[in-house]
Amino acid sequence: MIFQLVMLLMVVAFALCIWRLIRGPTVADILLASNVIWTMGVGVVLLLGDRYSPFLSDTAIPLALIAFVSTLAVCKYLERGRID
Amino acid sequence: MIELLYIILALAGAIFCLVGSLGIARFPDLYTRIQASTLCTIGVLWFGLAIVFRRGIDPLSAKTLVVVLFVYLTAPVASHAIARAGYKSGVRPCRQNVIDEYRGRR
Repeated sequence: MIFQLVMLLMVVAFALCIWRLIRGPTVADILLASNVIWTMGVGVVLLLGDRYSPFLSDTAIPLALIAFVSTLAVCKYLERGRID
Repeated sequence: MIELLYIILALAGAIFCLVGSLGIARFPDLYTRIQASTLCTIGVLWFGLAIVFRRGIDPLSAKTLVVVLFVYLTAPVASHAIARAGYKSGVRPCRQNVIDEYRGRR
């Protein structure tokens, strides 16, 4: 029961972030919304792995890694115009 | 008792994520939105602590702690990089802003 309530609140949170992702005026806002969506996705995957199957928790490690590296790559591109 | 602790921590994490997302959706500026995005990271910390208290000493709770530690190490770096890239690419603070100390120094 409490798990369903937590998931409902997280759905509302994801919806707000996706609204900013669609609506964001600049590229940096879109990048920030994407980073927050990845971070909250890590939390949701951890909760699902606790509740349903321990194999889901392995998925959280690459999720966190991809979030960090992709955010830094897009930031470098936005700052200099190239990636190196 | 442990179940009550799990309920409190999971609800706290969900509420923190919800309030952080509300700030991201409603704040007027890139930099204030970055400040609100910190709250979502704290929500992930509450989720990890809830799982650890529910599981006890377990391989899954160790994995959860490692993931939460990684998120805690990388989220400030990512926020800093986003703010820097936004400022360098020409995003200015909103009109209510009082001081901009980064303006003169390249």
